[in-house]
Amino acid sequence: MKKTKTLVLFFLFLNGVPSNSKNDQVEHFRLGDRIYLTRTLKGIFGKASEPIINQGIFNQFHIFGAPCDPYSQHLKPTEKGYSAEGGYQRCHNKFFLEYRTPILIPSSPLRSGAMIKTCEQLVDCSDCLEHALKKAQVEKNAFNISKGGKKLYRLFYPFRSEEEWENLLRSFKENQNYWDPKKTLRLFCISEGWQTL
Amino acid sequence: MKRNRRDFLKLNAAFFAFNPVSFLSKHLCDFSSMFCPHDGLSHYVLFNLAGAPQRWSYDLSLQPLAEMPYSPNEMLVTSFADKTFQSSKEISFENKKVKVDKYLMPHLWSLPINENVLPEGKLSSLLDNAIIIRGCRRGIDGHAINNRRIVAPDPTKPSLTGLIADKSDSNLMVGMTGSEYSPTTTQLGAYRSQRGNPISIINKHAYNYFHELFDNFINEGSSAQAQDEITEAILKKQELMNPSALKNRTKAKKIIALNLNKLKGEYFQRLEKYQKIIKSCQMDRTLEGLTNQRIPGLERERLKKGSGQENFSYFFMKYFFIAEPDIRDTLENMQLLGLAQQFALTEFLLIQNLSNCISIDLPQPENLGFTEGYRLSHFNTKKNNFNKQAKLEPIHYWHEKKFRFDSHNHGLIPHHLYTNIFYYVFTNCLIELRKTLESESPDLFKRSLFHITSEFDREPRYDLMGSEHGYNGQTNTFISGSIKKLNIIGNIYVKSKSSFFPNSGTWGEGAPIKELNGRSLVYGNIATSVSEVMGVPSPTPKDPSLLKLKDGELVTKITELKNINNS
Repeated sequence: MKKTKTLVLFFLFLNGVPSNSKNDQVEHFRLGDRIYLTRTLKGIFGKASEPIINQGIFNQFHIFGAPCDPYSQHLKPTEKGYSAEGGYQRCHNKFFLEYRTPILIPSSPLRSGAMIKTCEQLVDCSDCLEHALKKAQVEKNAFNISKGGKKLYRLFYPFRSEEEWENLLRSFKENQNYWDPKKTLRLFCISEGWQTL
Repeated sequence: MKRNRRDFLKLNAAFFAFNPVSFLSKHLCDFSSMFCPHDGLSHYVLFNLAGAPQRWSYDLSLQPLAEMPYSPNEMLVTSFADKTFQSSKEISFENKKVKVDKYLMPHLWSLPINENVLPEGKLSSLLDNAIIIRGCRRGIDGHAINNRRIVAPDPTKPSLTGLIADKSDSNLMVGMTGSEYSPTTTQLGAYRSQRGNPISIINKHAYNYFHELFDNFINEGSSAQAQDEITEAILKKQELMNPSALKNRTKAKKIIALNLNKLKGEYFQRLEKYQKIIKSCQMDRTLEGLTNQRIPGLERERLKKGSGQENFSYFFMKYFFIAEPDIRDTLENMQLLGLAQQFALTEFLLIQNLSNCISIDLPQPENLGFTEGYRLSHFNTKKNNFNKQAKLEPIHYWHEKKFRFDSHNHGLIPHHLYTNIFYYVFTNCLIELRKTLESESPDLFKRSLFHITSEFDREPRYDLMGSEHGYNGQTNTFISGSIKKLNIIGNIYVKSKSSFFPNSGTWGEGAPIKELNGRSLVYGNIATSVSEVMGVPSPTPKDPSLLKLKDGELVTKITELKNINNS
């Protein structure tokens, strides 16, 4: 009887081991969609960043997700005629594909590539960089990773604990002189933690 | 109570006793590929003939063996007659065939390979690596639904292309539009991945497909392109990235590290090569049975003498009747929008191992050089003659100058000429792709599966004014280096049962197969076949596969090939 029990438990254990089969891998965390990313980044980098973010993130609905809503579009009379209005939800381009895009799309190489490029462009844009530093109240010429880094960190991670920042700071301090506002901002921008819902 | 518990334990023990086999096979597979059943082929390229052109002069052999019964139809032709046409009245056709291995294939395969591809050889050399499955019944009519079902036979499950993209560790799932249909109504719109891999759909009007696809990985003038090690270390250490994001970031960085700006040159070289091949193919005036003789358009004299006996329908082109002195001249500026870019990008992605799943909607011939013609409104279809108002009129304002693959209203001449010239161009591009894969990357062609298909085949019209949807027949052609010789399977009816017309001949309507217990082929069989060959779960597991990999060779599981006489 004991032997049978052991045997049963053994096989039950084996079947509990998760499979590594590639087709079984489905991500369980959720990443923010293009609207969330666009609003967050525009908030940090200001109005000058709009063309970069629109091009790099907002128009890439197939990578970042969030379908448009054809019903939220309306025409607004202007001096030159009519212009389509409707904010983020309206269908901007490639109409049919845009409104059929999934609500949430997980991480992919395309997304990583788009984030790397957009973040690099954002920190290379002097007005955008200035806006972010001003918003975080960071002095460009007297940058200190302990104080300035924390302020920039809070732009992207406003709700993370003090302890998490302290952990991060220890790693920053290993190469303290390396970090300037541009590199620090780029790092936080590329990181995916703030995009996770 | 105790007894029940004991029984339960016994049952459990018996049930799980069988499980070590599945457990071990599942987990040992991760240690070594020796223990895996098979990984399947690695690269899948879907060539979707969206619009469903006729296939009977290309890969659908209606009478593959001479002794098979066959019912003719005037539209089921494969070649212009081998004589000089002094006037449009003399134009006639033949149903020529060429023997490839043991099968009789349409005449097109006997044409020479374009000199820009290979100095010598015939198109039929491609068939050495082909398996053709004919007579797959789609059951319902409609372009959009049948095209989407090519990759999503069960719409509740991930698509075939999604499953294949999920299997891969390579980076991109790429789709290219080309047809007249919106991507949402073709297989591109039916793409769905289980793991959420997005598809990059490149629009046929994009000026530069390379830039369209890799735009996210090229950041010209950026000082930070090569991400430094210190930044990387922090990203890894502090869990600012979750594990799968890090993996994807590594993949993205690999693509960036390729320095695509430099590789752009390589892409343009490939593009130039395909552009040259396509231009040369469409300008070739030596193609026997296709472009090697003048094809006169409808002459004015015939209109006056018009009687019910004349074949005016030969010249019908949707809204007008062709009246060019030589219809071949319309090919001069013919455009196959994006075809060269589609092949160049496919080749680039396969060679660089950037994608394992590419699906392409192929373009139809456009910008045909029609100058003048006779209006349809001046033609009396019942009496088969023109009225007195009929006169030669310029065509430019009448309608678009394109040949639709969905050729309901295209007479026999445009039907034959434009589909075959497209097939000639397309096959040459395929042979070039095969040649490049074989020469630039060992085994790559062997590990690749090209799938040529469409929504359905076509049923010829009795009045020679085009063809209708043959949705109870569909041809699927597979090309791979793992296929060692031509094989054709699938039964078709000699006389169509559920046709639009009573006498449409043998056009490819699917018939029951004994080896499938008397069932006809359905697309589920094709989907399972692709899944089995590619080593992914089938979206239609109840329909058995028709293909298998045996010692690295791709072979058919059934052998039945019949024309079933149902008269």
